[in-house]
This record gives sequence, structure tokens and C-alpha cells, in this order.
Amino acid sequence: MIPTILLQTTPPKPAATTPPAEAIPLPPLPADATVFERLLHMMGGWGAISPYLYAVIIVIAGYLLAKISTKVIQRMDRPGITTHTITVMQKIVFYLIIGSAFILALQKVGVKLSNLLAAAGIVTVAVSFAAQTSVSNVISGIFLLFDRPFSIGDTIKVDTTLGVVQSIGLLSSKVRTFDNLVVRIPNEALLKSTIINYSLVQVRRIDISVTVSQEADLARVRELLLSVMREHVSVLDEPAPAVLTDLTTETGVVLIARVWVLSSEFVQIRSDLTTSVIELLKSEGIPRPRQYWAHVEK
Amino acid sequence: MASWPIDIELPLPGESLELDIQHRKICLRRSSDNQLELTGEAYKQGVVIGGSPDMTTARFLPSLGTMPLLVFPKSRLLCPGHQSFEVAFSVPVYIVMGLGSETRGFTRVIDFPPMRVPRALYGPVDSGIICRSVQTEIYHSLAVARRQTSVSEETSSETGESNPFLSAPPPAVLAIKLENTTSEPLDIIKIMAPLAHLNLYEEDGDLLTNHLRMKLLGELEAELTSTGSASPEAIPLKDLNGNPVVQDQRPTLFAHNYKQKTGLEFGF
Repeated sequence: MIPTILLQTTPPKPAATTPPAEAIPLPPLPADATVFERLLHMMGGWGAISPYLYAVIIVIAGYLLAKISTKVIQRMDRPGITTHTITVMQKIVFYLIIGSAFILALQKVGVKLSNLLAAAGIVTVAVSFAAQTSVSNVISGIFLLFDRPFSIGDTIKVDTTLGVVQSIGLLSSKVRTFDNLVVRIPNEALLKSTIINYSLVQVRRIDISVTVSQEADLARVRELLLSVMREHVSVLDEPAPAVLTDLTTETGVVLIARVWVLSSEFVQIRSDLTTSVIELLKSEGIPRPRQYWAHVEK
Repeated sequence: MASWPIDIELPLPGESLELDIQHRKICLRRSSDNQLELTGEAYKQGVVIGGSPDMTTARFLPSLGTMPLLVFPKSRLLCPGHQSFEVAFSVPVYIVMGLGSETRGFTRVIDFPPMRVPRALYGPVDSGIICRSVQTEIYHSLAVARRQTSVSEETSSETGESNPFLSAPPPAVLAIKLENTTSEPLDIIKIMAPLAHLNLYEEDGDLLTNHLRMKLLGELEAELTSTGSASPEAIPLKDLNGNPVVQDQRPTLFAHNYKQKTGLEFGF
């Protein structure tokens, strides 16, 4: 026997609805009403415009609060907190406060958060298509802030641009070149490019390529090069300077003089050493090759 | 008799004073009551030093500087397994100049570095520590090192112009006990001395640093600890105002290779 299951069904309850607020008719304006009173009456009275005014006040207050917070963060001067960290914190706090103020303001004018979230999905899709490049830059900017291939104040080279990072924005970053030009690079381009960061390490190697004639006394040249490098006060003793014979060409023998220096002094010492090497080899009468003599490898 | 600090009276306005510090001739000229001008071979452009009319004295003190020192012994040091021995070597000192008066106190103004102490990197090229470096003789005891480095008292005088302690200050002597805690013999090619954490002491005109103990924990690791003054009679040097200098003397652990000389294996 098949058991019978009795289902007790209850009639559906009518959905709980709130009766629409009845519009309260505004009292008629007195004949001697001011312009402001007339304007207010035209816009539906104080009760109708006050939520919008509050919303504007909330947005302005939020903006001011966000600005003050970023200033407070900027003044943080503690060991271990870099400019980059401060910038990231500033951006997070600024956008959080501004975002919260906007949500509060929208709620004040009657926009429900759930509706807003539902609309956000649609808006996101629309914006993604309309502002694909901007969105890509923003996402790249977020990656740059957190992935930290470079920080503010680092010396970097992006394609042909060599300079110091001034700021990392949401859409683009600014690099000040050494001839004092500010280059704005879109974050997307930065993320796709090969970036050389010169500030991550404190020492760098200088390679000076010296070509001498095949008739030159190589042991003597080697000694001379080593003496030039050891005499320079800013050349590091360790790792010790070295001279290596690289190759023999039709024009002569190529020697490579290698020294380690502080990254901050790289350009000056490279120039000093190149000058000293050329002058010393000239004064010591080391036979030159036919086509070229000394150049610094970049 | 204590040789430090060395106090030299400053010249009157319009007058100048010639000094020889660290083999460098300098000239201190008082251009006005509250201005001094420092000139010399190393200061060709001149340095204008601000001050006050009651600034009457220049005070000189030796200092070890703030950078660590990488010491390359000229002789090879070999420490057999489970053995220990003591050696000593010299460390170049800076001369610190302070201006002021006995009643108002002194302010540090300028440091005169040793003639040539090059820089070196201790550790790998991507994360090493920048140090000063020196190649030095190794003496088998503190007494021998002191004999070799001391300045003769007979030649010293109280006047600044010819004070041998200023013109060629004696290097400080650092005594170190090397302890091999492993069973293998270990070569020591370099020693990194954390000078910023060491005090200077004086005994009979000689400068001494703290006594160090270097425990060789393995081929790549060594631990340095300070064990106080190298000599019980040595007096710790005070700062420019006569206050005791307190240094952080926590053990320093070197995780990099003290045994190998960096060279071709580091980037070449």
C-alpha cells in the first residue's frame, strides 16, 4: 500500500508592503514670501531637499576627512616606513573614506545599498567596455603599488626613460628624468615593460673595455690598469678590482678592467676611471690599436 | 698621563691657528666673534663654522667612526680544530673636533678621517654591508702591537701645532681571541670588526678597543662578542663633554663567509 502523504498547504501571504507615503500638500505661500521661500516652495519644501543637502555635506566632509587623513599619514616618520608604504597607505585610506562617504550620501538620498550593489555589476560591465584602457591602468596601478617592482625615489629605466620615480598613481606614474623632465607613464605600459631598477642594490660593477695593440706588453698593461683602479679612493677593495683578457681582434687585444663601486657614485667613478686609464696608457706609451682604444661598456 | 682629549685655545678674532691633523695641514681662522673659517689642502673651498663668542677652545678626541671595518690580515691565520689563540692588530682612528668651552660644553663640528681607508663590501654583492677596509700586520700579542703602534711621549708637546697625537694619531689596538669550535682547521682571511659598537680606551698614551672573541662556528659563520676592556688598567675615553660613552655590545653574528675572499665567485 502506498502511503499517502498529505501536504498541508497554506495560502500565500500577501507581500508585506509599506503604504506609499502620502504627499503632504505644502501650505500656500503668503503673498509677501521671499525669493528663497518661493524657491524652496518650488522645490517641494525643506523636507524634500534636506536629504540632498545632507548628502552633499557628507561628501564634502568625507573629502575633507580623507585629505586630513592623508596629511596625517604623510607626517608619519618612523624607521622602516618608506615613502612607498606611506603612499600606498594614503591611497587606501583616501579611497576608503571617499567611498564610504559616497555610500552614506547615496543612502541619505534614499538609494538602497542592495540596489546599488546590483547596479554596480551592470555598471562594471558597461565601464569595462567603455573605459577599458583606464580600468586596465587602474588595475596595473594597484599591482604596481603592491607588487613593488620599484618604489617612490628609486632610479629606474623604462624603455628609453631613465629617471627617479616621483609618484605612483592609479592611472599613471611619474618619472623625473635626470635632465629634469617629468615623464608620465601609463601604469599598463609600466607593467608590460622591462624595468631596470638601479636602486635595489648598493653596489654596482663598472666594466671598462680597453683595447691595446697586439704588440703591447699585456702584463704591464694589466699592472697599470690595476694600479689606476686601486688608487681611486672610491673603488671598493672587496670585491677586488680585476683585469681580464677578453679577446683578440684584428685591431688588438681587448682587456676588461672590472671594479665595484657604490651605486650612487657609479657615473662619476666610471668617468674618472676612463679618463685615468686613457691618460695613463698614453703617458706610459702603450701601443694603441688602429681603430679605437678605450670605451666603457654600458 | 692621559693624552686625550687635546684642548687647543682658539685664536682671537682676526688671528689664525695652523694645525697638523692626520698628516693634513689645516688653518683655523677666527673671522669674527661667532665665525671660524677652516681651510687647508682637504678644504680648498674653505669651511665657515658658525659659533658664539664664548667658544674659546677646540677639543680633539679619537673616534673609531661609525662604519664597520673589514680587516685583511697580511699573514694567513690558521686556527686548528678545537683550538684558540689570541692576536692583535691596529685599527685607524678618526679625529673628532668639537668647539666650545669648559663651562658651556662642546659641540661636535667635524671629523678628520685617516689618510686613506678605502671601502669594501662584506658579503654578497646584492646584500652585503659596506665597510671601511684595511690590510694590517697581525701581532701575536697585545703588548707587541702596542709597542709597534705607540707614539713616543718624548716627542709630544702641549701645543697643537706639533702635537704628534694629532698629526699622526696612534692607531687603536684591537685584541681578538679566535676560537675554532669545529673539528676542522679553518683559515681566516678577513675579520669584520663592528667598530660602532666598540669603545676606545687609553693606557699610557696607547689607544685600545674592547677585547673581542671570534667564535668560528663553521666554514661560513662566525660570532663576535665583546668582552670589555683589553687591559684592566685602561681608562675608557669619554665623549667631548666628559660623559661616558655607552655602546651597544650585543654579540654580532656573521652569516657570510669570513673564510673566502670575495672575487671571481661574486659577479666575475
